[in-house]
Amino acid sequence: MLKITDLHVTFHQGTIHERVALDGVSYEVQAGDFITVLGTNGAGKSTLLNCIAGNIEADQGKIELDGIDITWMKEYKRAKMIGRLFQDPLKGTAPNMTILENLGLAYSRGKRSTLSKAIKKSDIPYFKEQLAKLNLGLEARMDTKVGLLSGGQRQALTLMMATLVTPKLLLLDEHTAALDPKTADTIMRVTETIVKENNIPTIMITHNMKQALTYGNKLLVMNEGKIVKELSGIEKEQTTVDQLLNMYDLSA
Amino acid sequence: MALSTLQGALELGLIYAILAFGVYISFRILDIPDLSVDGTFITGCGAAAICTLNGHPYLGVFAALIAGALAGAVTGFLQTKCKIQPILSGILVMSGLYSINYKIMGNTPNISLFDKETIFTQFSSWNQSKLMPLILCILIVFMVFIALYVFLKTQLGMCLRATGDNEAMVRASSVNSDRMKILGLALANGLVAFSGGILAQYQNFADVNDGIGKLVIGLASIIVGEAFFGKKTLFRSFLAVVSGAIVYRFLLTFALQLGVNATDQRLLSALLVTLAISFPVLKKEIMKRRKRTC
Repeated sequence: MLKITDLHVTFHQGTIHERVALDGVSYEVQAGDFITVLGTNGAGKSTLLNCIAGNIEADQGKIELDGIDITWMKEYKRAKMIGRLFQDPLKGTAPNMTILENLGLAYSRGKRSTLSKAIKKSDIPYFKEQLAKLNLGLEARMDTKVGLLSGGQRQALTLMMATLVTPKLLLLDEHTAALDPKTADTIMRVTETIVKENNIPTIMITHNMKQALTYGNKLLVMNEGKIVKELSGIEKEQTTVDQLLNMYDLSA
Repeated sequence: MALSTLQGALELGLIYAILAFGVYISFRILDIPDLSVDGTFITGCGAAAICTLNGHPYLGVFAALIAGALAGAVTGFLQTKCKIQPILSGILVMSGLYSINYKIMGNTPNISLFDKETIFTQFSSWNQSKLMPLILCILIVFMVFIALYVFLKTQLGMCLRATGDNEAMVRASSVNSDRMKILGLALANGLVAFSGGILAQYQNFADVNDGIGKLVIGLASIIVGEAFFGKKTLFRSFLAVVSGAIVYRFLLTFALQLGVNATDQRLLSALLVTLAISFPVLKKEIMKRRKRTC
């Protein structure tokens, strides 16, 4: 599915600020994997996701998605295959455009922008049906500008948009960290539903250990630019938060 | 004010409405302060004037549109591919265009189109009415209005709007945001130059030094118009652009009639824009002061 081979990234190379962010990461994501990634700040989690998404270029190594070498592919071209959510709920939507327009844009992902009408009337029922799954009542507010929605609503909408055209891979970078616990919980449940329903391979960064243990079938711990621990299956299910904390200590 | 003065102001207002549409695309939709406008307007004037001088007035306005769009694309290229800050990109293009405009105009600082066939004389030859130039202006603005409105409702147009609104999101939706910016700036400056081309034929005159302050005119028009129509929907914004350009032209005409010096016009425009943009801050400050004294 996604195959990462010996990925290296160093920031500010050749200066006194030189910092190794990824130090030879190799990993293979299997079809149907939901992988949670833990690690201290600066462990390289976000850099790894940025490399896969294409807004950071690797110094060395190879990234293949479904057999295609995407290591040097431009960010917007990869976006055809990769859906992405950020910690900042404002990042994923256009505030001055309506919910309908935002969805319309997301729905045209991977297609060439043409001079045909942006919103087709025949697509609206599908959009409403998808929005209804979020249980936030957004389907009744299609003409509301997205800037008027709350952070949680915007993140839910972003999630919907990222998966409206089913991506080959979904990257979640602490996408619930800026939300209150209750909303975060809702978003996490919606995330799981969507991922399972469409069988989207997913990588999720989080600082929430409970989240990392509850969701997904595999768990990675990163430290100093390396994957230092991988838990999967029963091993992951039986791990407790305390044990996880110890792993942090071991790796630090 | 004489009726002919009013009609003249209305005609000029409509011609400048096209300029305002161009500025609207860069300033409001793409959220880029594009200073190349002051150069591309004259590029349009010059290109149209030279073609008109040689007997091709219609080709003239078309050439203006294309030349302006090319210059705008250069500004976009500097911003996106060369990573030059938006303001500086605009300044560089505006400055460089001065020399190019001079060359376009055949190495003369000004061209007179007196007694030449222009789109206005040709259109007026259909009918003797004095309203013919006004009708032509209305027709052109109407066409620009419709074409632009329809365009912004297409997929491509929506990507353009989203690029100004949230660039990261646009890239994440697999749209090349650089290309959108270049396209947007080309369209914006194409319209600006188109407006310049029509103005040159309207006033039978093109001057290489006339460009300074055109961006401010566009901004003032947008801001004045938004005071009336707001910017809730795209349609209202468009009405704002046209009405703003006309009202602004009337204000200027009125000021000139009152005896304000023509050279003070730019200062007035600059003050108007400054006041209008800082108005929310001023209002907040005044409210704060009031609260304190209560």
